[in-house]
Amino acid sequence: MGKAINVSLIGNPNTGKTSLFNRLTGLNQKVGNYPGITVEKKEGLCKLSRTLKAHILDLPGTYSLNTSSLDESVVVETLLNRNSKDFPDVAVVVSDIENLKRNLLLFTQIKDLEIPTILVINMADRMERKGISLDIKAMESQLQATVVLVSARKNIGIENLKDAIANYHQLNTTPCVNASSIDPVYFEKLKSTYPKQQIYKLWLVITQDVNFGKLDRNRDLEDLKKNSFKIKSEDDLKRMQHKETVVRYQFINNLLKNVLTVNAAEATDLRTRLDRILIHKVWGYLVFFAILLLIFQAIYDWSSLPMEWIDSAFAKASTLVQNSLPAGPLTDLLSQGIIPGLGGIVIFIPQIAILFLFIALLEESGYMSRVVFLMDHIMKKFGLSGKSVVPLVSGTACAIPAVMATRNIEDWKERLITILVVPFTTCSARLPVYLIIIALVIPDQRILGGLFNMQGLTLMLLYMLGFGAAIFSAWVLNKILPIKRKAFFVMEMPAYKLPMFKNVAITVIEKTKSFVLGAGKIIMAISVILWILASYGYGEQFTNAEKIVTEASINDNLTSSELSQKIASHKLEHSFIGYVGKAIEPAVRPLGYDWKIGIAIVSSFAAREVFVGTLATIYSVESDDGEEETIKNRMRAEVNPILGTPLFNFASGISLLLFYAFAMQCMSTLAIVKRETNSWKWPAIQFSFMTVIAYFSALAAYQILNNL
Amino acid sequence: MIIAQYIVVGIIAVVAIGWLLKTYVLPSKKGGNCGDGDCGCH
Amino acid sequence: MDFTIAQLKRGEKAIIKQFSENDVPLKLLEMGCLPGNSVEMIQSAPFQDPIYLNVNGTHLAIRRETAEKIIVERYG
Repeated sequence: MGKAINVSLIGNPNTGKTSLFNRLTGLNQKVGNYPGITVEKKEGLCKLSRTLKAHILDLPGTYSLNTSSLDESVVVETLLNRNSKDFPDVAVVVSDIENLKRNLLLFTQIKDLEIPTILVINMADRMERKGISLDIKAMESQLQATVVLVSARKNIGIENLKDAIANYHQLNTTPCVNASSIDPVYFEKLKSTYPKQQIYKLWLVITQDVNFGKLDRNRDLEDLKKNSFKIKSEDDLKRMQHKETVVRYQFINNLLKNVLTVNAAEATDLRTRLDRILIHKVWGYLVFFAILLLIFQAIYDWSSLPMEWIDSAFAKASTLVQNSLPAGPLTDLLSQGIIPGLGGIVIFIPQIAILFLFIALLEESGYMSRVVFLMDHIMKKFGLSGKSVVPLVSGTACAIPAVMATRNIEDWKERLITILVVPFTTCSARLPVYLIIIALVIPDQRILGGLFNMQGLTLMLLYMLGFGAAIFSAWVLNKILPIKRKAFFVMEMPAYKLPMFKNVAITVIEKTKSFVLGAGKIIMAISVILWILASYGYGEQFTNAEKIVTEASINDNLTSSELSQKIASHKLEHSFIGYVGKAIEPAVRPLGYDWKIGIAIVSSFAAREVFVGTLATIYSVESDDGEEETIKNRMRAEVNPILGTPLFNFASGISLLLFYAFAMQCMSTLAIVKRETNSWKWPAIQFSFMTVIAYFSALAAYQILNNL
Repeated sequence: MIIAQYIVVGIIAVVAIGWLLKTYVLPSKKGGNCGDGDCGCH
Repeated sequence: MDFTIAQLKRGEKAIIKQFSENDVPLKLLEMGCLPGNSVEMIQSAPFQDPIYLNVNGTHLAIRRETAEKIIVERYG
């Protein structure tokens, strides 16, 4: 196989860049991170011809090369650093036909870097319907660039694009806008000082400090910082950037005046008609609420069957291993530690996939921006931005991408508050806990004429509780944080699109995979450690458990299985984990829990979903008789050691639900908050206030409900 | 046979503890990142 | 008193003249919101904020307080 060339896909958000990426690479792609930062890096391979492959990098969406966020700075970094292994042989700028003017701004900037550049105009299939006609030949000659019309959705023009990429040697690299015209004297001086450097690149390096100070520069350009070119004050540089933008738009408007004609009368107006309903002052909110309701019902209803299969499959596997492998500690570890622990995560794949499916659909269709638009005014009152809605909604999947999704909030105070309150939203890691507790303490009945399932409604209430807690604490934080707000906000309202099956499928598969692998590793490790701690102990009570229990219950006429059950319980109580559990029991007893739940709570400070796995491991060690049972049934059989009633009743169940709703039990989120806010102060504050709220609301709930 | 099982369990335990420590207690290596790809998400 | 985007009624069109403040975010300009370009008020959100505009062919939403800083001249 021949060599591979580097191709970077660059473009504004909502241009179908990712669809094009998926078309070019198929499933031949991988998602990682840029080293040292948490910006998602998507790359893939594409076969251009029999002898030539392209290594394609899908850069984060950006409106220009004037960076104001981490994601955008990745784009500039890639384009400026000639020594990087990702430095493109060809830059493919993706634009969409309806927003050509705005898309061309980014194109002219990249063209000025003198990198071989191809302009892709996507969604060409919509041209006729929108009454748009375009003179490609004239455009190519004025831009001095190759223009390719494609439709990623309809798979049109992709082969032409591949040909254009393969012939990258023939691409014209002449700049199309003369940026130096904004201040000829300054640029002339710059040029004479660094005759070997490309002039627009120098300008970008100088101006990056204005908006974003952390960009690593190439070594040969490092002295620019200290050099006299910084004599321009920040205000001057900003003014020049403004001027540059104006110059570029003049060029673009002139260009398009001659080559683009839009017959407005022919435009079919899906946007207007949908907007009339979706951002209506009454219907808009109703539709949003109905969509949320649908999502939560779906998570509950669609997944119950596969979950039951998975649950019983793991119970069967445990029994099989226990009975077929030779007895010994490894067999026990497998059947009591690893398999139940693994079952605790695999069981949630159906739900997590459904959740990611809906989030992907909302984003792909363009509806998410309408929600932002509807909610901005309300969110502003609580110190948030309309754009906080996206993190709050995607926080229902995982707080980590949600914290990263706050990057496009312009105002620092609004962004910080969003980061601090996002972990209150019900992330998928809370689902395992919620689902199993709800199944135990809320009756499985249909109400309101069989329309709603009570368990589903409870789940919906918990989601609303999470949002409520987020909004309320945002309001408090807004009052007490001494930071000034600039309250700036600008957002594109993208056109409505029918989500593409391929894009949605790839997103769902990728996200679910990373959830299962990421969480799976922690759960495996913790369940191994827990099993060991629960299976071994020290002292008279542990080593002689058999004798002590047999002697103590000699008059109770127990059957042999009851007796061995009792011995196992006694052993567990005096294992390592038993001692730890007993030590924390006084703290959790007022909340209605026993020491085993206490252990599960402590271990889930690493990650919430460990809760179910932990209980599963503890109970399997306890019921050492190889009987096949599901986690749920084991939990149902647990008895409160003091009251003698079922341990998981309404009061303790609600108390547990509240604890998990509010507590900050996710080390990964704390780590990401630290990185995004650049200090340990904010994660520390976040951890403290969330845990305090969790403990006291769980305490209040149990004490009130139990004494009714 | 039992001895071999004990040894394997011991190795698994060491790997598990080592991995947890590496992921959560000493994340400062590699420029403060928790590795390539995801970060033990959730 | 200058006439600003915030005062446009639904469906009204105008040409952007200038900004009443020097410190306008660059992002706004990048989205095409700059002097000489056309702007059409499409709809405002409930509570009249934010505002949904078509600026130079791009559909955007901005907050009322930002819109009050953009001076325009009506036409059509």
